[in-house]
Amino acid sequence: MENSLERYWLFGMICLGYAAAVLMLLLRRRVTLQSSLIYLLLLLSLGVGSVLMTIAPGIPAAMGFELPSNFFFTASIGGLAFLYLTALTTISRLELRSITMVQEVALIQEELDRNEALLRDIQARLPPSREP
Amino acid sequence: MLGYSGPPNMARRRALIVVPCFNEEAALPALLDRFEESLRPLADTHEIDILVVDDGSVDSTSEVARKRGVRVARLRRNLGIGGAVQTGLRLAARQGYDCAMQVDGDGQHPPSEIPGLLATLDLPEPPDLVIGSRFVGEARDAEWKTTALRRVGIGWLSFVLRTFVHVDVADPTSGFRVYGRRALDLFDDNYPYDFPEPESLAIARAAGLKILEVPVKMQARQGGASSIRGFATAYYMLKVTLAVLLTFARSTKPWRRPKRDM
Repeated sequence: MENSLERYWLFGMICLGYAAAVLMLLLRRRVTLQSSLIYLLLLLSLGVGSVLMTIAPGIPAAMGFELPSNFFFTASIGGLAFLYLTALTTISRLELRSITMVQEVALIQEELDRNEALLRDIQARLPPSREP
Repeated sequence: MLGYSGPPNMARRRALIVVPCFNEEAALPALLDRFEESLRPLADTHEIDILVVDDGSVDSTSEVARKRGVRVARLRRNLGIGGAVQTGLRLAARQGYDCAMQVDGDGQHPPSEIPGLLATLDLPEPPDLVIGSRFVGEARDAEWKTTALRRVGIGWLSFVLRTFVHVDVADPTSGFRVYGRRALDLFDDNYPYDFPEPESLAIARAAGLKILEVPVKMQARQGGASSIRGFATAYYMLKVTLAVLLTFARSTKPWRRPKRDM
């Protein structure tokens, strides 16, 4: 048990350190909870999992992993692949939204320009107003 | 405003000519001059407006266009040809135009061909999307078409479109097009923004639109350079081929239609 603790505490600390960094970013509103929740859960579960290995080292073996490190490696890669997928969908959605917004701004500006030109035209046609 | 209204007539077709431009301040004045000349014969039958879509140019494309009295939609960021064209199609769809026409701002598409392309909408069974083609009819004998390498690429895309989505078009990369009302409604909602021409044909066919290809004589670009060069050529071919295959897959499987974004 002590050996496991010695072997995995560094990995667990790194994961929990990253989780703390994400929490700090959340507190400072630099990232949104919606976009970082899965990442946070992954880091916490890996961090807690590495501690859990010291208490229940049979879990990775029960899942078919000869070494706990293989389990962590697989879980990390799987988690990051899933995170990449969610990031990809978010980026794609934002990309489409930003394109639409640039287009809409251009169309609104075009309409404003036309209305301004129309207004100038109408004002030019009006007889000069009499002073009271 | 530069437009061609002619005498009042309820039956006149409202058309919007969409000119996507990126740093075309040099080529644009000559193109707009040629519009004036070429569109005059259509004044009795058409009410035509011209919209220059400035795709985030860093030169004075917008100012040049405004001075000539045409409508200008200035995109604050460069979206590429697809984003620029869709801006024009959106405007046409929302403002009730009967059709829109895409004419590139680099001078490749001679305005003298516009009346012929618009005339196809008067056919007994009018098409929804008309492609001005360099490779059909008398256009095959034209002096300028494109480079041999590009023709190979165009041939490949033509093969992919014919095989998978049953669109038999010889010039799928042509951006010299007329969009009917159904095409405007479709592309207002869904238009590819990255190398859009071949993919948009697949989308149109999947939506049941009628596509017609007619011969036009094009010219070498009067200014600027194509964005499809070097490594971008390989990316273009791969991306467009996959995009067509995806459109084919979407049209054959009961996938959920993507929700309209915004």
